[in-house]
Amino acid sequence: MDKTKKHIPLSGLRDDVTSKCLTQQEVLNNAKYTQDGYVKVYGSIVGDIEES
Amino acid sequence: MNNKEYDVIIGLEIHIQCKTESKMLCKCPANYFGKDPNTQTCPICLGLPNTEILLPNRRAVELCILLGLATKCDIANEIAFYRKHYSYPDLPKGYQITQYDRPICSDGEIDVYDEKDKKHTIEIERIHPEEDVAKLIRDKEGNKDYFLIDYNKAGVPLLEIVTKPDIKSAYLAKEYANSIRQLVRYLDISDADMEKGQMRCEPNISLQERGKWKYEDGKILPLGDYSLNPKVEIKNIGSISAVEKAIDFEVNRIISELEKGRRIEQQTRGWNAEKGITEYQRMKEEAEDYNYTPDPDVPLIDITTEDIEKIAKELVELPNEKRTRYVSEFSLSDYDSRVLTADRRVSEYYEKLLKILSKEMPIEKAAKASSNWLTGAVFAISNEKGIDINEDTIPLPSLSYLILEFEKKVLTRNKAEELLKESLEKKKDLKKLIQETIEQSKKSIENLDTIVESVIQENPKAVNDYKNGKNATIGFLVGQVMHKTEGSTDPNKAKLILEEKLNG
Repeated sequence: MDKTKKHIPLSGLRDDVTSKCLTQQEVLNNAKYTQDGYVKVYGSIVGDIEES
Repeated sequence: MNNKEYDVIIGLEIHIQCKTESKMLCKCPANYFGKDPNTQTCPICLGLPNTEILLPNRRAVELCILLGLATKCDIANEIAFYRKHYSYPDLPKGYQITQYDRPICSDGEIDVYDEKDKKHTIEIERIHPEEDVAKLIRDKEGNKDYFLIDYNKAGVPLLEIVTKPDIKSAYLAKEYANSIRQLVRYLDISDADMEKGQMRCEPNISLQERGKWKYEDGKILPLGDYSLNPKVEIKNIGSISAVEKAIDFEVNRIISELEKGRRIEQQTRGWNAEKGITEYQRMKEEAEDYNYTPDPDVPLIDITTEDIEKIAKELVELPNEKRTRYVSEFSLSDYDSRVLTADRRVSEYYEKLLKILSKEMPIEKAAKASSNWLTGAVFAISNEKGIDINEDTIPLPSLSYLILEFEKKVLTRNKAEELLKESLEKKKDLKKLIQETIEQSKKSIENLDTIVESVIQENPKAVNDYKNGKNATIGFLVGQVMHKTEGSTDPNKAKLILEEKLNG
C-alpha cells in the first residue's frame, strides 16, 4: 500500500494556524443526550468505561 | 510463601501535549484549558460523517524531531501515519491517527541519576506524534450510568515517548519522568503540567525471577523453560512523585501475589492517589488488538537532512549539560547546580544575576553568592508565597544590590532576608526598601554610642555580671542594642563599642 502512496516533504505539511470552531450549540445539536455543555453517553450503550 | 528473588523491570510510556497553536489534523485551537466544553471543535475532530482530515500539523512533527535530537534518537527519513482502532466514546472516529512501525524518532537515550547520584542511561525505544482523545468525565454525584464528553481535547497533538523495558527501580522511573518534563520545558515543546493533563505517565511493570531471564535488543527474553510473568500497566498517575509511589505499590502487590503462588494476569490498573493503591481496570490490550492499518488520507512524509539541521538550531543547552558546566565553570556543588538548572527560566535568571555581580567581585564568589541567595532565601520565600522567580517579581538590579550590600556587611543576613520578604509580600520596590534601611542604619550608627550608653544604664545587673567575669552576658547586651536599633546595626560593631565602654 505504501509503495503507491503519495510522498510529500516536511515543508509541505500544514502550517500551524487556527480557524473558527463550531459553537457549543452546533456541537450539541448532533448529540442525542447532552448536559451542561457536554455530550452525554450512557454506560449501558458503551459498557464499562473509565475517565480519560 | 516462597523465597524467590525477583528483578523489577519497568518501561515507561509518557504522553506530552505539544505547545502548538492548532490541533494535529484540523485547525481548531490546541489550547483548550479553561475553555467551555465543546467549544474548540470542528467536524474533523468530532469525526462527523463526510469530513476528511487535513494534512498533519508541521509544527507538531518538528517538535517531535526536536525532542528526538535532544534525546540522541535516530530520525527517520520517511514516516507514515497509521490508524489505531478501538471502540471507546473518547475516540469519535473509532480510530486514533498515530504511528506504528516507522516512528519519527527511535533508539534514543537519556541520563538519569539514582539516589546515590550514580548515572543510569535509560534507552528510549521511540518518540512519535499522535492525536489526543476526548475527555470523559464522570458524573459529579458518582452516577456511573453515564459519562459526559468534552471533545475540546480530541485531536490535540501529543508526543508519545516510550522507553525500552530497562528501568530498574521506581526511583529511576520518577527521575526519568522528571528529566523528560525538564527537557520538554527547556525546549518549549510543552508546559508539561501533569495537573492540566499536559503530561501523562504510564509505567509497565513486570517482575521476573532472578537469573531466569535476559535483556536483549530491548526485549525481555526467558531463559530455558522459564515462563515470563506478564506486565501490568498503571494509568491515572497525576504527578511525578506519584510515579514512584504507584510503582512501589504495584511491585509490592505483585510480589505478594507471586508469593501466594498466584499467576499474574496482563492487565491495566488505575492509581488511586487518595487511597495510595492501584485498582484493577481491565485486561491489557496487545498491539494486534488495535488492528493498525496505514492511514490512506495521510501521505508518506519525507524528512531531509536539511530539515533536521534547521530544527537542530532550536536546541538549547540542556539541563544535564548546564549542570556539568556550572560545576566546572563556577565551582558550584552538584546539588546547587541541579537545583539551579531544574527550571530553564531560573537558570537564565541565575546567569543574568551572576553577570551583574561578577562586575563587582570575582566570578567564583559571585557564582556562589548568587546560588546561595537564589537556592536559599529566594526559593524559600517564593515557594512559601507561591511567587514565580522572574525579572518582574524580583528585578535583577534590586537583588544584586541586596547581595552586594550584604557582602559589604552593610546589611545583616536577617535584615536582607526580611527586606526581600517584605518586597515580595507587599509588592514594594526592593531597591527603595534597601536604600531606606541603609539611611536609617547610618542614623542609628551615629546614635549608636548613645544607644550603647542607654543599654548600659538600663541593665545594671548584666553589666555587673559581665564585670564579674560572666563574659557571655555581653551577648545579652548586644541583643538589647540590636533591639533598640531594630536589627539595623552590625552586632560585631555593637559588641566592640560595648566592650570598650565596659572594659574602659
